Amino acid sequence: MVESLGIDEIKMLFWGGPIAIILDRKNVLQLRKVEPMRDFFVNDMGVFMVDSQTQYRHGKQLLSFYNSHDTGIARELSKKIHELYMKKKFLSLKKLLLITYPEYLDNKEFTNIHEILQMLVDRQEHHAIDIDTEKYLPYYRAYNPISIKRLNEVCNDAKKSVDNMNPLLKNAMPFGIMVIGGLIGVALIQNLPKWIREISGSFGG
Amino acid sequence: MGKFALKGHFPILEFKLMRGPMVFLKVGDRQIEIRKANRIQGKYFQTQEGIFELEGEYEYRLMGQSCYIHNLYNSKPISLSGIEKIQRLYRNNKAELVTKELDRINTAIQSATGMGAYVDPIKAMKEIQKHTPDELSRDDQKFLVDYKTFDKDDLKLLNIQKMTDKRVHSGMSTKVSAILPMLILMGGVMGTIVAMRFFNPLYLFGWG
Repeated sequence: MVESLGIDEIKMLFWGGPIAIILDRKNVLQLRKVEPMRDFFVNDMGVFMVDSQTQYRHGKQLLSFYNSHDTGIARELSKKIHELYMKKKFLSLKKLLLITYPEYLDNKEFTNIHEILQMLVDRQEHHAIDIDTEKYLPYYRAYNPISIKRLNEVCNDAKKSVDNMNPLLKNAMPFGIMVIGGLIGVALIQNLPKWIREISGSFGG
Repeated sequence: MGKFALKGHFPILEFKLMRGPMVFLKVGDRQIEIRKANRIQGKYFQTQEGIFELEGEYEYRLMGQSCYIHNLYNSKPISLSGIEKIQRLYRNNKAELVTKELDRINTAIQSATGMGAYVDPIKAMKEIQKHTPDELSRDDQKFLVDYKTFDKDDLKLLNIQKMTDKRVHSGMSTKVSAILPMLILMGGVMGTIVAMRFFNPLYLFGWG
């Protein structure tokens, strides 16, 4: 059964900015907008760090993976943190962060707000996860060596067939917009004389 | 500032509405493609690039939909917490732990099998579990084992089936793009056009 869309998801229907996929608990992922505060961003799962080296691209949209490690704050609080940062009210933000995260922020002297955010990220382990496994794990192919030649042929045939079956939707999109524009234009051309006649009729009557 | 996108962004509606598991496939150069996995023989899915395995242990749930994370260069799904642990060890200058563990896994699998013999998983696992570094949990170790091994016998069967299959392109898992939001907008426009047919919008400006 399809679950209904949440408010966050509806808000993201036309969101082209960066997004974060965050491991919430056990195997549940959450999708969140990334509204950066320099190298950091905040949401109801805590403060996270943006790392340009682990940002992947889905089309042109940036996408990163994180693990929340079961940390979470109230949504209103995360909005407040973001708001204070954007308004550059760093002293108020520092106070708020010290109240919110007393277990992570000890009485160390901080020279700027980014040090506090960095410490939060380090202690909560909210760094981006790099899924580029070639970096860490040796390369291991799935193919059966005996069948690789045949499989390549099959895949090439399949590619051609799929390409034939599937006219590129990317090309269809601008075309769709043009069709919509054309239809509206035709509707206007068809109806405009009628509307003008109606108006002149109403003036005359 | 919000960024409005009509296409090329994350396909939320498609992701939610499509049947079957979705896959985040990392292709070359930091590109991610979202694909709908058509299960073959219950545990594989095939793309133009190769065959990948779906393993329930590494399944995630996103917006109520089941999903997997794959890298193009490995047929096995990625465990986010597993790869995060490995990354942390690298960050803390303990990369040799991972390398040693991978070497131990290789040796255990080879000594359990011998040359070309049947893999006895119990012997291999017994060998692997003898010494687990404190920094690695059992789950991390299991992820490394899973990542290193692949069920070649089942894949062989799949390959044989593909060789004899007439419709080679059947069951191919293809890319999913965000189309539905665009269709919703188009629906709105069409509705407006129909409304314009019966209602003169110039009345709105007080001209009538």
